[in-house]
Amino acid sequence: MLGGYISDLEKGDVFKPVEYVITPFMCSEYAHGTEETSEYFHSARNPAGRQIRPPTMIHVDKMRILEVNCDKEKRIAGMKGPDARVHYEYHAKHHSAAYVGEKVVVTGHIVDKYVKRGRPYLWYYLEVRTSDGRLVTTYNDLTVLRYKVEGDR
Amino acid sequence: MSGKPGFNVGDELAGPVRAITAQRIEWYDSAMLSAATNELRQVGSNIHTDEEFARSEGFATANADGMIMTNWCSEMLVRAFGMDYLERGELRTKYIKPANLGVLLHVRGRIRRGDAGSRTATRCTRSTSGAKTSTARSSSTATPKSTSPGIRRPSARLRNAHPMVAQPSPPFVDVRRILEPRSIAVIGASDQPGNLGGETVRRLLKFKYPGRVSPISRTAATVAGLPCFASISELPEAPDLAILAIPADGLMAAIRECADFGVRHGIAYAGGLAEAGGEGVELQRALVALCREKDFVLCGPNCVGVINATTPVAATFSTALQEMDALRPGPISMVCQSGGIATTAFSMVQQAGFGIRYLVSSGNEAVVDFADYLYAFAQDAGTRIIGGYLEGIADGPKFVRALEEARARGKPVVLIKAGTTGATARAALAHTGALVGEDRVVDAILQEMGVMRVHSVEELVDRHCCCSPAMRARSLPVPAWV
Repeated sequence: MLGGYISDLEKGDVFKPVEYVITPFMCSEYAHGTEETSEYFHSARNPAGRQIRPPTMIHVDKMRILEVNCDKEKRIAGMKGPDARVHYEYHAKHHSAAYVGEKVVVTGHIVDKYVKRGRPYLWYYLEVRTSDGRLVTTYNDLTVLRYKVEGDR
Repeated sequence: MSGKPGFNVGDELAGPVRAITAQRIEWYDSAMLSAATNELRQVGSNIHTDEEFARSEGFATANADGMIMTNWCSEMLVRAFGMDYLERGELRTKYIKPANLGVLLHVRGRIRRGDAGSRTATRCTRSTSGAKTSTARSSSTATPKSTSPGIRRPSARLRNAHPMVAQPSPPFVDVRRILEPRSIAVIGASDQPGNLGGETVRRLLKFKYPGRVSPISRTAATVAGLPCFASISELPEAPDLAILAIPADGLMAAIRECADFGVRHGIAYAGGLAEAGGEGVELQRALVALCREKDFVLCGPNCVGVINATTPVAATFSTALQEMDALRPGPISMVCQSGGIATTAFSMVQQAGFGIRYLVSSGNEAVVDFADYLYAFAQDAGTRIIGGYLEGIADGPKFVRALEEARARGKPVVLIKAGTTGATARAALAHTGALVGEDRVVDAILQEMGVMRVHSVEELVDRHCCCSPAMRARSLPVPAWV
């Protein structure tokens, strides 16, 4: 169910898309925060000739789309949900580089939701395309919605 | 089977070695918020930054966001594959265990497949008190059409392999008696012009080596005024060091005789071994086997010797010392796989008014390798700055361990690494028989270990002098060679 907590999301939920323009600040700040010093992400003075969005920023796109689709739990805005979630699996496939100045559109849906060994898992699928339709990244993400198992509470 | 151009299946990729600190966690979490909002943001309380909150959620303590490790894996792939990874790559990471504050993480990879998939298995491994467990495991492809996108369990070889760094202390060879011998025998010395043994005896005497010098010659009665012995076994006692100034084909017999008499350390000048190819390779192999059997520590072959400017010990035939009247001692120690570069750098440092502690021409490094000297310099109280000229790395983990030791002791390391291009790689092979290794991998290791990589002897000397305490104390101008 969209509009609630992240833990309220259900299999088949389709996210309202998010779009934004990639800025130099986003790329260099994210790269800086991970100690990634490659010039690809800090300026246009690299073999590509343009500043590139770090490929792992797909995870930020997940945060963006959750922010828009889950009204009761907004990590970027500082609104917490009932339980701490844990990232379990990251799987990004890159189809092209996204450059500073390009507008990108993030779409996605919930592939599955299940319980394993007492812990609820949520499987997201996201796609990032440029506004003219070029596929940038496809992304599968598996998150443990609650780290504590029921018996621990 | 070759992998992506420039890589072969089985090649190792070296990624960052970093500790999980509260600062790094805050950097990442704040950067994520900043990137999401396009404005500078500061992270608040969560399981990564707030220990109490993390405990209330079932964790042992605050722990790193898994994306930090994914980003470190990605960083390694960007370095290795560049645009191929950014445009067609794939990275899949599973977070196996929480990475708590304080753990040291090692990112490394190995090329597992060389077809269109060009798959790399990467691991982010933590080490705590010597125990190592995987914290995150990734697989990645740098070219399109991976036929098997699922995570594969790394091969048994990979699972059982030691991480690139932080192995249990590798067996560094003790080279103290090569650097600080209390007595020296020079085998093959004579007063004939151009005789390398005779030149060595004269260097030792000229620079006032304080220990006993014993020339060994079957024919000469004296060398540089010193009485000769017909063989090493005629000496009253075994010297600390035997300098083998004889041709390659006499090395086996001479080392056997030295070892049987109780000599444990030697320097071999002779060329014509592994660097010459063919029979030379076989001869060097036999030499290594003999040294291992006899527990004989050999510097070289194919080297110009060792200089210790403090004691002093000029165990070399280098002509660079001909114009000098005295050795200027100082805090800089260098090891070079090229004798020419070793003596050139030595001369330049001395002419600039700075001192050397040890200079080692390591040659083919049949027995004692570059890392052994690095490690010895790192542990030496008199060495403050370490430098070197490197053509090839015999043992990657050992090399990294030696650099770690230098870093832990706060000693800057400045290195020239040859073999950046195919031409220099071939030159290195011909020079000392060194396989130079993948430059990007070496570069990543050096960068990660905080080594200052330079590209000329002049730059090497500049950096050394700039790091010298004498430079800082006297506010001397930075020397430069144009």
